[in-house]
Amino acid sequence: MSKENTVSFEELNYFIDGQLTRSERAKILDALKKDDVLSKSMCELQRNNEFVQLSYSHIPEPDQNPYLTATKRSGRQLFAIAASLLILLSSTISWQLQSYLMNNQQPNIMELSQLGDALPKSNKVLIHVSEMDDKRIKKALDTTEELLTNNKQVRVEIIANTSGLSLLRKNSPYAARISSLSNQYSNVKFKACGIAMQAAKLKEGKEINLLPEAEKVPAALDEILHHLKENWAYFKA
Amino acid sequence: MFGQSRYFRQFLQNNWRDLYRVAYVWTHDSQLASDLVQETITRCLKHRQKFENEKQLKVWLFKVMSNCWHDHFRRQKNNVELDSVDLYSSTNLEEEYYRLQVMKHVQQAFEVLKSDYREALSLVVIEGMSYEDVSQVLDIPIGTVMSRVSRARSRLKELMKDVHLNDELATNVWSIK
Repeated sequence: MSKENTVSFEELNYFIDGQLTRSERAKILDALKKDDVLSKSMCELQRNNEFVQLSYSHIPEPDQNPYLTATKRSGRQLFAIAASLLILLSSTISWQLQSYLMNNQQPNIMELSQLGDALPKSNKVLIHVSEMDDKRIKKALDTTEELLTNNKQVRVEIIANTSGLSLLRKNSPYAARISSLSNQYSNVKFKACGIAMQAAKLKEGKEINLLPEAEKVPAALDEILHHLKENWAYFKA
Repeated sequence: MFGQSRYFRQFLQNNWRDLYRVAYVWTHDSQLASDLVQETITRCLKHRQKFENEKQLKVWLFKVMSNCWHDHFRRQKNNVELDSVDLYSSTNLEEEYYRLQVMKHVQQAFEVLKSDYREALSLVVIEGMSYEDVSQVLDIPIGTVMSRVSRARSRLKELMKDVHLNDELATNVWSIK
């Protein structure tokens, strides 16, 4: 920073955090116009701020809604123990899956859009639905139908967990489509994550019912891990 | 009294995600962050009669969480400070490589910061609080907040130099944003 513009690093911080009065801000803005070094320092501060905000904008979701857990905690000790076990189970499986992926260079993991490239290489396709996103779900179901129509040898499994579980619940908006696919093709399966079902049960305080075509599996991630080991092609919807 | 009203519960319900985000920055552990938020909400509900000023509720909420966090450290004082960075969750199996790299780098840099600095800076940068609010949350003078934020940024600047060197990496970050 030049000598004539005596704006300190601390003052830049106050400026960036909106802690200055209008006249103090004006003074710094004036200094920034005149001093390139100061201006560069300000840009760097701003950029670091944005990096930090970005880095924490996609943090892992908690396994359960902490508000609901806290409000239901008293008098629900048994549920709390069950939830802890679920979290432990989920973490263990997640860790296993992560280890597997790290050690096996992710040979079968692709985006749904890459399906065309991968199909000739595999007749076993696993589609993972973890979000109730209409666009993605439609794409997943369309792709499944296309696969089943064009290739009699292919086996397709759609596995749903976290909020994607809604796809396979009894009141699913896709119930008719799933029923139609299931009636038409014997080589398609729909699987629902048991951990996600248990979490939903704890959250909603009622049993979770699935579509008749859906089958409950203990844990989606365990199922994915198992399929990857069996050389299934894995696609995230 | 506001603490006794249904709005109080609604307020807690609407704000747990903000608490969780900051708790995650402090702990770098999703389970611990979730536990911290649960404990905070439990304490808030238990002492709800103390909440009178609706305007200051968010500051109070974070203040309670800060107390819970420091209580946790007091309980853990004979143990090593938690240092595991869990960048993995079941929902982001295929997060883009570059984004993960940047996140990892920045989060690691943030984790290296002294706990006092990390707490102050996260409330300002992530939660967007004023220095005055942070001073109430952390129960420290406003001058201390100013110096902690400034020192934290200065340290972060050194630690994040490598991130800036890779323009390709930065390009990927912005495109995702």
